[in-house]
Formats: sequence, structure tokens, C-alpha cells
Amino acid sequence: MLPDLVRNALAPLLIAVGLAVAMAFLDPAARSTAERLSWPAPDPGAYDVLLQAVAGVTGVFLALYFTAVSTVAASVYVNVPHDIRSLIVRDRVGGIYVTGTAFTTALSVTLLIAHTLTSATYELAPPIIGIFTAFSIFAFIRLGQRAFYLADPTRLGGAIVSEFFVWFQRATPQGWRWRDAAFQEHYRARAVQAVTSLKSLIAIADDQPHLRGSSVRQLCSQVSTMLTTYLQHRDRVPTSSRWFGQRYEHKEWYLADSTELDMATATATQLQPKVVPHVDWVESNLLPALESVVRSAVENKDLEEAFHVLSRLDPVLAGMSRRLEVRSATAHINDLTNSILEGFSQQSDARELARTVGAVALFDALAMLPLAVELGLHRYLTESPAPQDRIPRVEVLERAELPYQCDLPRPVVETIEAMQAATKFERAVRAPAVSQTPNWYVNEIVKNSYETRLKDQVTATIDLLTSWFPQTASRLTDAGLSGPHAAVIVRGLETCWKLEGHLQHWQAIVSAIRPEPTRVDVVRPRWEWEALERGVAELRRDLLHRLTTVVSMHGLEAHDSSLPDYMGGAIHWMGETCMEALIENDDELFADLFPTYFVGLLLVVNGIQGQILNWHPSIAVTAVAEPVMDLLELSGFAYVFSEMHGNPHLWNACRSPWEAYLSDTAGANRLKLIANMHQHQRNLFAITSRALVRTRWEMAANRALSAVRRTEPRSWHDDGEVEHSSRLIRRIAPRPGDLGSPFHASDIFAVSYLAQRSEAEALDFGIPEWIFRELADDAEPGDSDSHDEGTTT
Amino acid sequence: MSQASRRSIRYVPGAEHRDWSGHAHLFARDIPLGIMPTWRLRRNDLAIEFATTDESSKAKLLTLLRETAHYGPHSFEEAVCDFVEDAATQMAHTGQAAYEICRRDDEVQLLPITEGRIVSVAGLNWQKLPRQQQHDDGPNPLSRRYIYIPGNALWRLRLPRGLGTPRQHRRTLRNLERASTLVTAFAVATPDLGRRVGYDFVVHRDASDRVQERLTRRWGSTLSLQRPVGTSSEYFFIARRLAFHRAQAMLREHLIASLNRLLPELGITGVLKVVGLPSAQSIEDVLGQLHAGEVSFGEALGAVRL
Repeated sequence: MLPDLVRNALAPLLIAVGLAVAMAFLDPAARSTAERLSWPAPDPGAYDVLLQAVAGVTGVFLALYFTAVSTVAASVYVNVPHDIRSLIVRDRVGGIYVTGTAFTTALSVTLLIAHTLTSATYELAPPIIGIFTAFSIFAFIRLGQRAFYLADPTRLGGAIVSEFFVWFQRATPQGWRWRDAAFQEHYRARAVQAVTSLKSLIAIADDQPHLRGSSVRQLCSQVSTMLTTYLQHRDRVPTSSRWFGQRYEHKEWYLADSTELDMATATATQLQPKVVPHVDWVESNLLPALESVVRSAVENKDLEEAFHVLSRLDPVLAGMSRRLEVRSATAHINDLTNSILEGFSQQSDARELARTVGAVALFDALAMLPLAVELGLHRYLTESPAPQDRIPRVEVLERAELPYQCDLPRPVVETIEAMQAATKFERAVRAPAVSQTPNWYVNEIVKNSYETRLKDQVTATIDLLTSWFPQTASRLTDAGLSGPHAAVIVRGLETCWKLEGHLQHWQAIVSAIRPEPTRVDVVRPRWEWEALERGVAELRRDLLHRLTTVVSMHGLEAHDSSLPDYMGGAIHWMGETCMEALIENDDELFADLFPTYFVGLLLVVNGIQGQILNWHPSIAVTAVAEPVMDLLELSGFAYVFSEMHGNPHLWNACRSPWEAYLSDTAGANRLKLIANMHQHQRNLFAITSRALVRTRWEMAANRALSAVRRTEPRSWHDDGEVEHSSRLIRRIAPRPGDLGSPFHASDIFAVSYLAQRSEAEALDFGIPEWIFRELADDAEPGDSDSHDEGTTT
Repeated sequence: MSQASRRSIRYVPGAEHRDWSGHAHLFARDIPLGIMPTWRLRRNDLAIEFATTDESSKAKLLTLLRETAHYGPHSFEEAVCDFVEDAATQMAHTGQAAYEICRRDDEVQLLPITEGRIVSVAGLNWQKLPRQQQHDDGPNPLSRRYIYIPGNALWRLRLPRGLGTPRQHRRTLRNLERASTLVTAFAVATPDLGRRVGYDFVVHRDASDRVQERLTRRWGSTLSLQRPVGTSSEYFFIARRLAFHRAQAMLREHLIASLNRLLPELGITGVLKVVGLPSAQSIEDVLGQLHAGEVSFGEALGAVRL
């Protein structure tokens, strides 16, 4: 203790004495300058009084500061662990103030002693002491204001984060003795202290109600920022560095090598475990702490706080994925999902809670996490430099710090380290030149390691996405949490859309990594892009199926403008999917979706009716008629594609709900309304809100119809006859040069089905007579020319 | 030919034979292993040819090599293979091989001298027998320290120049034996395997690995080590195996060439030739191609497979 005190006091004392000596040395020059300025020499009495006053005032400041700190420590920090209490002492700003003020006191006393012993007064002493004193006074004001923050220990989180990075940087090639195991161990020990303090702080903030809110959010933001930054730079530390600590990895008896097996058998002991670095010790300590904040916030129904913390995890998980550690990210996402769902399941009013903005936002943020993982990987693969360009040239690979500067994934760094060790070994054994590992081998091994890691990460990402969304959606359906369920499905569909595009990019990027020719007989990753694409397509299909659940869960709920219109979105996407199913002749998918789509659109019409009471009648009619037009158009396409594919199931799946709807006692009125809407909408000279959607459907249908086989043209002005068993298709299929078919799908549906009903005799669907004439000959799908082998209904 | 005409001793009953241990044992055992193919007669492209104009020469050669065969040769090819293996085994353990040339009537035989050291002074040779034999009080007529062998009755073979001198070879074996110690004696004597005094087993093993590889660099490696040594790469492992096969081929070619040089002196006309085995030069070429990346590992190993 005493030597420590002496050591701490010695340096400032020496500086104070040195400063006094310097003043004595410069005094003649300072005195002559003062004389030139006509300043009188310092009065010895006033000199002594000034120094005594400064020593006394700064001493009082020190006492006041420590009193304030002691008061805070005694009241706020009495029930906290020691490492948190020590944060006040380790507070950087306070430390600088105390050191500066103590030095001012010491300098004053030193000058007083010099005056007593030599009767000398120094011209420079009053201004210098004055500057130090002014600093002490103004700094005390700032520190006094800051003392209020000490009541909130979470405010000290920033200081811990800074401290962590100081030790982390020393473990990287920029640090002192970064390859020395003892130094690495020391840096780790100090960083462990910082991480433990952060964990304790999070636990305290989460536990004490008065700290919840902005304090815990700020702390969580600091921790997530720290983790993001750390992950970005983590692989700059050598893979075998003690910075990561060590953990045991136990071997299997039937996979152990002969020496280990012999030793264990001879000594009747267990196999010696392998010591491996604990790479993710920082993440595995801090992320669960953040997860527990989310969980307790859900349990306390503070969904806003849970959302805030969860959304801060987004860059952390993206960072993990960018470091090519998707499997770790997956584990954390699964833990978070379980925590949140369990938190909800404990609430008695979980279903009501799930309809709130907070719940929807929370699950939307949760569903963003798998997407963030996918985007993190995509960013790594697509940003500059490209993966293959990150691999350093083999000629310079011997530079010790090189692998840690190239933003390479850890397994690749390990491979480069192994190659460096191999080169060192070969030199040590004085291997002949021809036995020394050549550059092409190093290049191939490093690239293979890179490709293998990428393959693993791409597979892990697809696995995460194709499992998490369906599983979570199922769990939410079972729990009856409608809002969160829709949020997850919508994010899932967005993910599918992104992933479909990204997979093509990835394929081009990773194929550039594999060297040509390959000479080393190593296990090379086998890319199965088609299987991956199939997995994504199946996920999309699965999520689209689940849209029916969204409609059934939200169907009778009144629209809340504070929440996204999930039901409207679900119906819209179902319409798009129904159209795709028709083009692709997927009767199973169409039959699954169309009945719900039918009901959903009717529910939408009902929902709209309540909102347009005060609208201008023509605009209101248009708004109500739009969903109906979608339904009529899609039904028409069902009729057309049923004919085109010769698949009556498509039309049957469409006709059934119509039959049920129109065969009711109110069927005649309903048909009348539909006819009126069609008449109004069809002859409206305006581009309505959903007209572009329907135009896109028409264009897709025209592309499919124009691809129907034709006979060989007989002359230059002949396009050939359509070769199809259906008269309808022969009539409506556009010629290759045409802009499209002149027949609207809704017209075809109205003429071929609605107008054929007995209730429709006096109804006007607004369809021109010529269209009736052209289409009137057509009967139901499958009713082909007598000489054709058409389909049957 | 009766054994009575032999002067040297091939095997001394009761003598304690010096054998190498640890990696020296593996190394010496590996050198003759597969130096001639065991399935030699089943491969169409493999043949042992004896080009001669004298019809009886082939029979004479078979007689010459009869005693070097392990269990009596079934064929001319087996006799040649066994001779090469026998000579290579002697050389692997001592760096040299010695045969007594026994003549009787019109027959000449090579009799291996595997026991004791040959001492040569001014063209005169003696076989120095192990000390244990001298104290044998039994009626054994061989209880002498030295057996004189005339100069024209001794055929001595040494390692080819590229594989070092016999003295260097024996020193390599001795050092390999020393480097094979798993844990140093002082560490074994302590309860914590010397950790308290700074002994690190892993560092010791790494150093031993390096020493072993450095000692065997002239031969390539120790073939029995079926894994990359220390922190070396797979390429190094493959290249060193190829280098070992090259050394083996060099020794085989040296032995055949030496036998061809001996034959005229013994009145056997003809030239012995092994066809179908990779030559030392061809293996060196493959090694060069591998280093340049012109052939794959599989192709390189396939080129030296017997």
C-alpha cells in the first residue's frame, strides 16, 4: 500500500518541483519583460497570500468532490457489486479533475516552501498558478453538474466501452507485444473486467424500475454499438491469441489418434481434451444480457422498450453474419424468439396485447433479424473488394500481420496462419527447394478454405430463413397472435423476394473464388444452387399459403390506422399469387388461395363501405368497385387458363365460391350489384387505383397466350393459325406482333359465366355487343370443337 | 555347394543383436520396404530382364543369388528381388552391405555377412565378431574374434553418393534414435512433467519433429509417418514421400548397377535390367512438375506407385 502511495505521489511532486525550478531559471528573463511593461515586482506578502489561498481553495474543491462522490456511492451504489462501484473511481473525467486540482495544490505548496527557504518570488508563479486555479474552478462547475449523472450508473457505460476497446486494440497487430501470450492474457483479463461490468450494469438497469426507459436503452445502444464495432474488427486478432481465452473441446474415443489413445489406455484416464480458443466470448457474454432485457420488457408489457433493444440487435447480427458466423447468429435469433414468445405466453391478455402497435412493431423487428443476417452476408459478398480480391498475394503472405488486415473470415485466416507455420517449419528443417510448399498450393488451399466457409454460410442462411419464418408463423398462429403473425409473414415474403435476387449474385461471386486448374485432392464444397433456389421457392409458397390464415385471423377486425393493413396486403399478395398459379398451371395452389381471396375481397368491400360514406358518389363507387373488378378479372383469367392448360381444376376452384355466393337467396341482388359495378368501372375513362395491377396481369396473360403454338405462316402477311383445342384460346390468343388481346378477362368471365345465369337476363354488364358476339359461341371450359380432343369439365 | 566352404559368419547364435529403436527403427525398416514390388510378376509392364548371349549365364546368376533369397527363390525374378531387398536391408541398418564370394568347382555364390564389422587393412579383410561370442565356452568352433576373408572373396557395397556415406548414415540413425525420446528423463521424474521448471512437452515434440525431418532430409522422410509432421503442409508431406521413393529408386539402381559390375568378374556374362519401375530421374522429374504445379497430387503419387 505504502509503496503504491509513494509511487503515485512521486511523479506529480517531481513535476511540481521541476516547474518551480524552471520558474527560477526563467525568472530573470520574466522579470526584465515585466520591467519593460512597467509592472512592479511581486509583493512577497501578496505572493504568500495568493499561494495560501490557492492551496486552500483547491483543497476544498477536492474535499467537496470526494464528499459528493461518497454521498452518491453511499446512496446509489450501496447495493451494487464492487466492480460497478469502482466505476466512479475509474471515471475518466473525474480522474483528470482530481489529478489537475491536486497538482495545483502541490505546486502552490512547493512555491510556498521555495519562498520560505530562499525568499525568492517568481514572476511567472502568479499567472501559472492563476491558470491552474481557474481550470479547477470552472472544471468543478462542470463536474458538479455531472455529479447528478453519477446517480445513474448506466451513464458510466460509455467509459467501460472505451476501456474495452483500449485493451482490444492492444491485442491486434497495432498493440504492444501482440503476439506474446502473456500480454494477450493480460489484455484479455482487463477486457473481461470491462465486459463483466457491462453485464452487471445491464442487469442492474433491467432490475431497477427507475432505471428502465432511457437509461437502459442508452446502455443497450452502447453495448450493441460496441458489439457491432468489435465484430467488425475481431478477426484482426490472431486465431490462437489468448485474447479469446481457452475452452476445452473433448474428443471422441473412436476418433482420437493413436498416441492419445495409448496414453489414455495406459493411464486409465479420459482422453485429454483439446484446448481451443473461445472465439465468441464477448458476444456470448453480452448478447444474452441484452436478450434478458428484451424478455423482461415483454414480461413487464413494456413493448416499446423491448422493440428499442431488439432493433439495436439488428446491426449486431448483421455484423455476425458479415463475419461469416451465421450459425451463431441463428442460435441468438432462436433464443430471442423463444424468450419473446414465452414472455407473451405468460400474459393473460396476450391476444389483446398482440393487437397493439407495440406488439406488431416488436415482432416486425424480430422478423427483421433473419433478414439482417441475410443482408449481412450479402453485403460481405457484394461490397468491394470482392471476396477473391481480399486474399492477399501469396508472395507477401509471410508478413505476420497480413492475414489480419484483409477482412477475411476466421477459417481463412487460420489457413493462412497454417501456411505461414508450414513455411517456417520447412525453413527450420532446411527442406530442399522442391519440397517447399509452392505458391500455387497455398493459393489453392486458402481459396478452398474460403469457398468452403462461404458454402457453409450460404447454406446456414438458407436454413435459417426457410425454418425460422414458417416455424415462428406457426407458433404465432397457435398462440392466436394475429398482428405479429401477419408481420412475420410479410417480412418473410420480403426476405424471399430479396433472397431470390441475391442467390444469383452469390453464385457468380463464389464461382470466381475457385482456382483453375485444381490440383490438390481436397474435399471441395459442392454447390447445389438449384436446391437452394428450390428451398427459397418452397418458403415463398409456404408463406403465401399462410396468407389465408392472415385473412381468417384479421377478417372481422376493424381496420386500425395505427397498424399496417396486413389483411389488405395479404389479399393483394394472394391475388398476385393466384395469377402466378394460373400461369404456371398450379391448380393446387390456386385452389388453396382463391376461396380465401374471394372472401377476403368481399370483406375488403365491406370494410371500404364504412369509410366512403362522405365521399363523392362517383369516387365512392369506383373505390368499392375496384376489389370487385380484381375478382372478376382474376376469375376471367381462371377461365382462360383453364382452357389454355386444358386443366378444368383451375376453373372449378374458381367457380365453386361464385356458385355458393350467387346461389344464395340474395344472389340475384348480388349479381345485379356486380353487373352495375362492372358496367361503371369498365366504361370509366380514368386510370383507377388498381388498374395498373390488372394491366400487369393482362400483360402476363398475353405473354402466355402469345406463346401458344401456331401453324407455319402461308404467306408474308399471315401469322399462322393458333394450334389449340379450345375455341376461346384460338379466338383470344394475340398474334406475335399485337400489343395484346382485345378481350378483357372480366368481359370473358361476365359473358361466359355471369351472363349465362338465369338471374342475369336483364342485366347490363357494360360489355360491347361485338364482344358478346365473339365470345358467345364459347361454352364452359373444356367444351371444345367436336373434332378436338379438349378437356372436360 | 556346401556351407563348409564359407569363411565368414552370417549369424552368431547367442549374440545380442544391436537394433535401432524409435524413429531410427522405422526409418531403417522403411528403406528396403517395397524397394522391389511384391506383386512383381502380376504386372504386365514389369519385368526383370537379363540380356546375355550365354545360355548358362542366367542359371549361374540364379545360383549366385540363391543364398541372398529369403526362403529359396522360386524364380529368377524373385532371386533378383530378394537380393535387392537383402542388400537394402543391410544398408538401411549400417550404411553398407557385405557379401562373401564363395567359389567351388564352377559355381559361385554370394553369401551375406550380416554379423560383425568388416575391418580392412592393406587389402586384407577380417570379420570382427561380436564380443559375446568370444566368451562362449562351448564347443563352438566359431569362438574367435576375427575371421580372415581374402580380398577376392569379399564384395562390399556402399550407399550411393547422393544418400551419404555409411558413417553419415549411422550417425543419422543414432540421432534419430535420440530424437525419438517422447519425454525427457528429468521431466518424467517430476510429478508435473517438468512444467514447474519450464519444460513444455508440446515445444519438445515440435522440436523433435523438426530434428527428425532435418535428419532424414537426404532420404526424403520416414515413410511410416502417415501424416504431415509438425506444422508442415500436406504438400510438404507428399513431396517428402516422393523424395523418399526417389531415394529408394536411387538405391535400387545403385544395387543393380553394382551387381552388373560384379558379374563379369565372376565369369557371368550379361546385363541385368529392371523394366517398368519408376527411375530416380523420373521421380525427380515428377517432383519438379509437382512443385511447378504441372501435375496434381494424384498424378504425382500415381507415377511412383509400384
